[in-house]
Amino acid sequence: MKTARNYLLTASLLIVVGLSISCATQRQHHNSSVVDYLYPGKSDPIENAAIPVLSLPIKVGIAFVPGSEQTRTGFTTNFSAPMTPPLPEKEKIALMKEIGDNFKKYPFVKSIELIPSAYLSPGGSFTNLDQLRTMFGIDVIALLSYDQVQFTDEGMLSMSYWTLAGAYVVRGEKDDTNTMLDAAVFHIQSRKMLFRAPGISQVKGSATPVNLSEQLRTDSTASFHDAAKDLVVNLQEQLELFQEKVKSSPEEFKVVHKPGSTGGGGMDAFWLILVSGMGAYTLWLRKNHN
Amino acid sequence: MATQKSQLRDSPIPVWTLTMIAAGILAYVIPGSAPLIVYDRAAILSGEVWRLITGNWVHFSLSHLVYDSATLGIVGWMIERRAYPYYKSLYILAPILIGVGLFAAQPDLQFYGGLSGIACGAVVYLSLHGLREDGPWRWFCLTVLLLTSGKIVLESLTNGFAVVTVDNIPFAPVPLSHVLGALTALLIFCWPYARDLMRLKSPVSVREM
Repeated sequence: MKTARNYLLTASLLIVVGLSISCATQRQHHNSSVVDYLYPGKSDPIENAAIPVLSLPIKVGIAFVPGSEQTRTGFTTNFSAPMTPPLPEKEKIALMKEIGDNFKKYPFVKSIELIPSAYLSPGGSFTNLDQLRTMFGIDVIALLSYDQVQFTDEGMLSMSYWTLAGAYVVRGEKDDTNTMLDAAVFHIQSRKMLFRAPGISQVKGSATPVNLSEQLRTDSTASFHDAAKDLVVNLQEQLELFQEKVKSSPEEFKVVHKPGSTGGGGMDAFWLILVSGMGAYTLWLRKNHN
Repeated sequence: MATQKSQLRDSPIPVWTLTMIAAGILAYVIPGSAPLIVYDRAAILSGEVWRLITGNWVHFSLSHLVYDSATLGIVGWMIERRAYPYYKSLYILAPILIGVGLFAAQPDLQFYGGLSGIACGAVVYLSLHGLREDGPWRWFCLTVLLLTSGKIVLESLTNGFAVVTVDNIPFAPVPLSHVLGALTALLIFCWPYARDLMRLKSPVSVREM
């Protein structure tokens, strides 16, 4: 009887432990934040922006703001899938190129510089941006930040991303990869944010426990690229709105044209003297002809 | 190349030239018209393709207008007075080729205006025809052609002499418009010869001969 009770107790214990492992809620999270980069240690970020003078055509920089450490929450065991690595530099460059290529077509964009992460220091703020402005000769910078969460269980989990314009909350489902890319475009000299746009992606989970870590990595990359595509569409919309705003609010934005961007076919005294000579000869010929 | 004597016609009003200049003056004096027709790369990309052509009639200052109009006026008067063949084609083709050429070859250029490309084309066109004539006029035209070519090369090498500011807009000469105007003139001047050459080489022409 006692033996039977021991067996029952052991079995119950194993079931409880097993259930704990299989039902444990896990979440992998890596992110970077524009707010943390520009306003480190400030709970209420206020920056006095000057009136931006947009000198057309502009040189635009694109950079990912430094990321924070990746975290994993929930119950983990030795059998848990290893954490997917944060966004590698190669992927960052590929994403920046993907976004930048869509803005080269605009005539007011002179060039686009892809700025490697090594040039951005964590919490570097506008001092760091001023350095980038000098180093790369850029006028405007699109600061990209991201937030990616990978859920490995169902629950009330959600991803909350705090941007300069407010918080975004995205619900998470089992094995989903939720990604949010955010682009905030700043005029560096005036410290003014010109416009911003988000890009959101949700890749539905299809992993089995066998290939979980590999699938999570694949989903992570795919989700970043999907979010980049969404970001491009939203950025273009915001850019259109911004152009209208610049036209309708000249007191808020000053637009000037760089030397060489406006040109004219101009005749000068040389041409006038030359053709005047020809004209005078023609008149003289006419007089003699008559 | 056969030479010919100058054929001066009395008192023909240079209608085409005057129309070109009048359009430039109207675009300058009518308030609000220039922004609608100036060569604006952003607007062209948005679908306002007429600006490729109409930009030639926009001027950024009075001196810009006076120099361009005076040069075109004198040369155009001489061309129409001599009734050189296809001169109307020059006035039709040059604005198109200048606009399209600038759009394709100078993506940095956001705004462009001025009749000088057409005027430059007219100078080259007049001089090329002058080479076919007898007497001092021929040598006069050869000198003008050489000086014009030299000026265009110099402008292209230095990319314009100076940047001036007109109404707070930094304004730079665009040598390419002069090059395009000159090329249009050369094209129209050579067209009859090319056409005759093609006729001679065609089988039908051989049989006819």
